[in-house]
Amino acid sequence: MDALTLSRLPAGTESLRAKLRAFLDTRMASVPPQVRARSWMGFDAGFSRALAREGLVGLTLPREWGGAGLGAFDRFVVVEELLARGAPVAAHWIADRQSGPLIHRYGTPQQKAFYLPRICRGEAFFGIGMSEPGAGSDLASVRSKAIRTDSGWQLTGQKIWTTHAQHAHYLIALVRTTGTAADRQQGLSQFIVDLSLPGVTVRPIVDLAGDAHFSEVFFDDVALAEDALIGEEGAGWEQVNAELAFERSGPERIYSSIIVFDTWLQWLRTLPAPEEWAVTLAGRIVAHLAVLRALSIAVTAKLEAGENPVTLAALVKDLGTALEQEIPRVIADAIAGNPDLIAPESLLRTVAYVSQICPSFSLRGGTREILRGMIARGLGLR
Amino acid sequence: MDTLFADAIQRLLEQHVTPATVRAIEAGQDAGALYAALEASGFLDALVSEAHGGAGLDLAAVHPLLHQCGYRAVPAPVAATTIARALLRAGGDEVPTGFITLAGTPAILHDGCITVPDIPCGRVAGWVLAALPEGVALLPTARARQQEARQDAHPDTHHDTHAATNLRARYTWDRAAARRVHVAADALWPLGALIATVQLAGAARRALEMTLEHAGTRQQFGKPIGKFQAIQQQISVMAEQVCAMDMAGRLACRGDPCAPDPLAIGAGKARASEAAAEVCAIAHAVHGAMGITAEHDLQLYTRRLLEWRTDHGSERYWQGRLGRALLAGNQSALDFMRSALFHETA
Repeated sequence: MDALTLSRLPAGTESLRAKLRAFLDTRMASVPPQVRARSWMGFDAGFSRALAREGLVGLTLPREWGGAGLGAFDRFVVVEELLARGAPVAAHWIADRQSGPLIHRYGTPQQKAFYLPRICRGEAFFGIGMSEPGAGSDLASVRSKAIRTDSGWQLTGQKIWTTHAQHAHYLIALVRTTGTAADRQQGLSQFIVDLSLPGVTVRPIVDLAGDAHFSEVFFDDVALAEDALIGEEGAGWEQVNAELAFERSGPERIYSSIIVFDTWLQWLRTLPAPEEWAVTLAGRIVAHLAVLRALSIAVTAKLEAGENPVTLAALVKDLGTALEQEIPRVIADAIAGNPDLIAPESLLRTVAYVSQICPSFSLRGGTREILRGMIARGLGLR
Repeated sequence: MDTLFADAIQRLLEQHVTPATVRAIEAGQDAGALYAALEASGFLDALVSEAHGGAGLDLAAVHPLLHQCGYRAVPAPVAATTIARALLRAGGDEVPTGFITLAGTPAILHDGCITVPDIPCGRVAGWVLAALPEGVALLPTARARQQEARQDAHPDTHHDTHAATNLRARYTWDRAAARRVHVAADALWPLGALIATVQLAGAARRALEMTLEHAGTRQQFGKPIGKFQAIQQQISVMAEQVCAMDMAGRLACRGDPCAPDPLAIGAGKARASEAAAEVCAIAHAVHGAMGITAEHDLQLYTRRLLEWRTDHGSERYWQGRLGRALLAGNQSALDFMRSALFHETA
């Protein structure tokens, strides 16, 4: 494995951070922690459009398409600030992080001209169309199918676990265009599916915390235009892996429980004498976070240098989600460790929500076992 | 510059510190040849300012030296000597000949004597830099009481059950043996932790390489054990921890040795120490029974993982210090990290 470096965020990112903080101060001041804890599951189209008006959606897309034309370090800072504040970023998140960059890399000039400015204005929200009922970690076994017609393509099949599909305008679906599921990685292609088309049915799925953040999406003989195909026919597998690389390389995977941690710290500070083990636990979490942040910046530096640090990104994601899941577990224990102290209702609700939803942290974007398999490959074991 | 320095120290230590050297010095052989080679190379003055005849590097620049000391389980306080020389020179003190180590515990004063109960690499050091009530002093090991030194070489010493291969020592001196020097007392403990943090990362990297090598060659059920998914997943977890330790070392090893940053060092030490036991456990699990033999080289590195984990404060100690600093202010976790640990302008 490559040697790591400790990189500093460029000084130029400070003004971007300050701009974002000013924006968030006005928007987030009165939002309670149990709502902020939704983090990048929180859907708020108004928030995303306001952020777009600040020029902060389509961060890495070129200015000619309405993007911010920013580099990897800038994106790190923006994402870090949004997540650390628990901003409701779900509406534009997928488009900003992966759909937009995917269209920019593989799209035709016409596709770029149509989708990218809309994404950057916060008018086109995207979902991910990868998983199917029979294709989870084994993504190459997708069965949804597009066949050629005189006017374009006819799409049949089903996607599942698509975040906020009920609110999104489009999803980018990985489907089979030739052969059968037995052909695995061969014969797959990606399509941009307009979710308002006839034959598309979106059915939200209620999660264990009572939210409906993900959905099933059914395609019932959906007629797609010729230009719904993105990239090359048959190159879907390569493209979807590039998309996953965009998904896995950001600092999203270290801050999902930061609202729990900060809310708990604020309560500890009000206590006359917090217990020694609680203080030690706070120190332990911040030591873990600091090393993860440095690792995440190291991944960012490699992206900025034009590298594709697949193994390191998988490694940081697995380490990051482990901490994200540990934070609610150990803080719930710490709060209930002294029954004489009454914790504030908002802290308890925040811990309860994150404790319930946190198994998802190591499922989305590739499970722990898949990531460890990628690391093993990077180490030369497979 | 960075890779030139790294390559040079790697070549030098590769030549002078083999597993056979480590075993020989642990068995009591004199470390004078190693000292002479290092002294001649100039590396021991890497941190000494240029005005005092050194290379004037900062801690980040000498990170490769500390890392190599861990990676090769160097059986002498090379990193400590390099840091101690910078401190002594900066204070206008003379640098003595010989390895200098940092005391692992506060000195105990009794009956006109000074006892330092736990001295990393004490058996090969010429000098011990220790904090006394009146200030920091250099204590020459040649003047330590013979009886104490002998007692420490006994297998029943309270430090461990494997004293024959352990370089730690406990020494007692007459108070007159102490030579006062102009070094800040509160710098010693974090600097010791810094050394342990980077050396932990180096030893962990070596243990990972050995584990990968073993998993790729050891055959069971007709194929290399590294082909089994259960082994792959364990080694991936080990690689994650090794990577975290590596970054922890880099976070700790920055700035001027005369003004160490206890919070950044503490974050690194807390993280590296916490990972050390797991890395050690997985390395041994994959190596099987042969990994716990004295003959196998793995133990040279895993014994040190356990030793450095607790040197100059275990994870619990540093987590406590970090937690107190975090709770003393009113910053968010992100802003605390940015200002106290990353030194970004907040």
